[in-house]
Amino acid sequence: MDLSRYLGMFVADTREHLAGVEADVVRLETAAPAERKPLLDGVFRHLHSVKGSSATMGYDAIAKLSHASEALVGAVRDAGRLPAPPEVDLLLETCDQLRSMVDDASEGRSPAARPALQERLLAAAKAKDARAPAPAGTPAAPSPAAPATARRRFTEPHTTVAVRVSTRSATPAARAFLALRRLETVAPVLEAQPSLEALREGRLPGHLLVVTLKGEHALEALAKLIARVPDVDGLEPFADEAVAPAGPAAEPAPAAPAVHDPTVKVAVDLLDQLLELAGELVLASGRLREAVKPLPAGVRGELDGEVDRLRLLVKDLNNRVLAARQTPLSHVAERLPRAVRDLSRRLDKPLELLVEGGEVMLDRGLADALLDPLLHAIRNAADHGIEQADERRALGKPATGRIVFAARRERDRVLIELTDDGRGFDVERLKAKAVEQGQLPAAEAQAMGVEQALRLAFLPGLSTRDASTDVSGRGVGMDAVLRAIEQLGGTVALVSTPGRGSTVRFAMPATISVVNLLLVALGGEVFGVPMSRVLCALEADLSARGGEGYAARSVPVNGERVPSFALGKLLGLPEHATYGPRPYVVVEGEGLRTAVGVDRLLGQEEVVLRPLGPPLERIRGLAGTAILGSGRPIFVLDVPRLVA
Amino acid sequence: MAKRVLIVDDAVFMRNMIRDIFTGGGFEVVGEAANGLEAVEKYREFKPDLITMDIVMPFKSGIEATREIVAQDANAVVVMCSALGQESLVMEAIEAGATDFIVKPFKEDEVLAIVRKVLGE
Repeated sequence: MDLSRYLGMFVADTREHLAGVEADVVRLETAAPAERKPLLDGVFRHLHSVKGSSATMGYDAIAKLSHASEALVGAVRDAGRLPAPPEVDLLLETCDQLRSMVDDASEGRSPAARPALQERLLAAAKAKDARAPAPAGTPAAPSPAAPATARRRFTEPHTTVAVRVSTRSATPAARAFLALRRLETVAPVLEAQPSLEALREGRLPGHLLVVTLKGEHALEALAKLIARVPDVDGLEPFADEAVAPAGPAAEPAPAAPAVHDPTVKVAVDLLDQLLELAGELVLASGRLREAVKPLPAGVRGELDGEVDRLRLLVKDLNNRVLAARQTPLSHVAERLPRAVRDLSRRLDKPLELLVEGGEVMLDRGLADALLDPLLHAIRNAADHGIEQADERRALGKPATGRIVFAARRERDRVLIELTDDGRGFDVERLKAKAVEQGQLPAAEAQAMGVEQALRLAFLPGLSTRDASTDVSGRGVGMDAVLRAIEQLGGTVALVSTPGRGSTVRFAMPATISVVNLLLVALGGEVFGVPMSRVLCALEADLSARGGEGYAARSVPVNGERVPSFALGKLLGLPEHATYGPRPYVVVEGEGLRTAVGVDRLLGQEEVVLRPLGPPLERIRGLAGTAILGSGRPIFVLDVPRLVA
Repeated sequence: MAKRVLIVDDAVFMRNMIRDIFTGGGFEVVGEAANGLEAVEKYREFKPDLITMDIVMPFKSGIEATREIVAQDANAVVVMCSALGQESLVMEAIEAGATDFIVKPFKEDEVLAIVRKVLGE
């Protein structure tokens, strides 16, 4: 069976489950008694799902690790108590490992087993205080199975048969159980060996179930009853044997109240494609309007109205597709409590996290990209900002340090503030460090105001970098945070009040347009061409043809000749005469193909396309701007318009 | 005529995989459900020839759902989908009225063989 096509979905599903485990486990530590069971059930179900699906996908290592953690959660649940902090630590560590294993799987690598961690989980599950006495309501302990050699004579008419279960079966006891049930339909079972309890524990010695039924029955009739049970090879007559009485069946837990969720899961790739299409439609409808303008008034009349209507519809579509990528910020915010909890334990400082505005919606790509910056800001706040408990008490502050995540929507931006009530930024130290590192002349440092000085925190040398054992597993400094946020079209700023606390303020655009660009170098500049328009790229040497005739100004593409232009000339850049072959990018638009010559092809990159505002949007041939991963801003070209 | 199947599992990708196994085996998948509640509703709606039922699911377990479905229709054919090492749950399900069971990780031919046997083909 080809499992590779289920990989994407398995990865997405499992990541969601693991996020659920993490959030619930952290909540469990401080949960009220009433919340305990639903939370534990939830964690158990998540781990159980991961176990089942990873086994199906063939990721044995993941299945085994989930199984071990399931055992620990089950033990805690059966003991009727909350998990102790070391157990929570263990489960969270397991979560991290599982996440890393899923990452491996998603990149085509086989996840390695974690036997040591499994051992620790299983040991914790078996630990003496893990299994506290079970709460009332569970069935009484089953009586032990009678030894196989004891015999009992039945005084009434009876039939004893031995049912053979195939040795191929992975679940022989359950198969035997099925057979037993079938036989039960015809007569009461006087005895069964192994007992029902033994079957429940998965034991079927010798793959043989011996059943004594009341009354006399023809062998063929009984054989017919079990004929439809898979993996049961048959039955045969057997001499009587004694068995233990069957135990009562346990009642399953009552269901939680229903909540129907009218949503559909859509692959993020599909949404990206829809988004790109919608973006293209917006550009195309804009060009349509331009094309209509030069028509004579009489012809234009109705056309104008229809084109405007089309533009409105397309803009509406674009907005809705953008909205489809929106996710509530709680998606990101729910990862934060765990970080705060870990920091609190590691730094030995009591900390609390408040989350406001989790319902604010943000583009999913932006929200995901915010996680690392937020974690870094939290680490800074916990480590450098918030004072030790006794120092806080001496200052008249509550012993528990408070970190607040607050989000709100403001027109077309989403503002997220991470505030702590610690000691604030030490501006003088920032300045001193900057001067020390030669990033700032001493005189300027003197004159610098607080707001400007705070921006120094974003300089590479000055930003704090985290060592490897942080929650996300990557060390980021404020400079990386700034770059990441700016690349997405957002801004970061710091605000601080000495002695009272500091705030990291993120401002993100509420929606984005993501485009895959082909980057080209030309005359020392870099430009982007949307990949959706690029037919192909090729090398051609037009310099030798003396510059005359169509052949000199076209390149062969798939058997046809495509008119070519030097992009530099089109953009008015200084043109160096080039000899020899150079790269040409063949672009398609409005049914026409054009080739543009560039200096070098630099590769592909996915960027956030930022639309131009007036008056730049009037410039023909410019689709917008973008900031590359390197931090470099570039123009994105609309080549068909450029050459039209 | 192709036998009609209702697939119940809380994981989308499991449902997809099971669906592919059945359509590949000549069955008609008439519906899917993601939890025990939906399972009971859709059983009523579609009256399939066969249901594949996951055991551990939110809102209502597969065992509960099986119990309710069998209470409504004693002839319902419910095949439980269990993870390895869950024999006692499987037996609970059987006591609740499940007809048979298949075990994850699924092997396509095994699943179809079991289902065909259970349906008496």
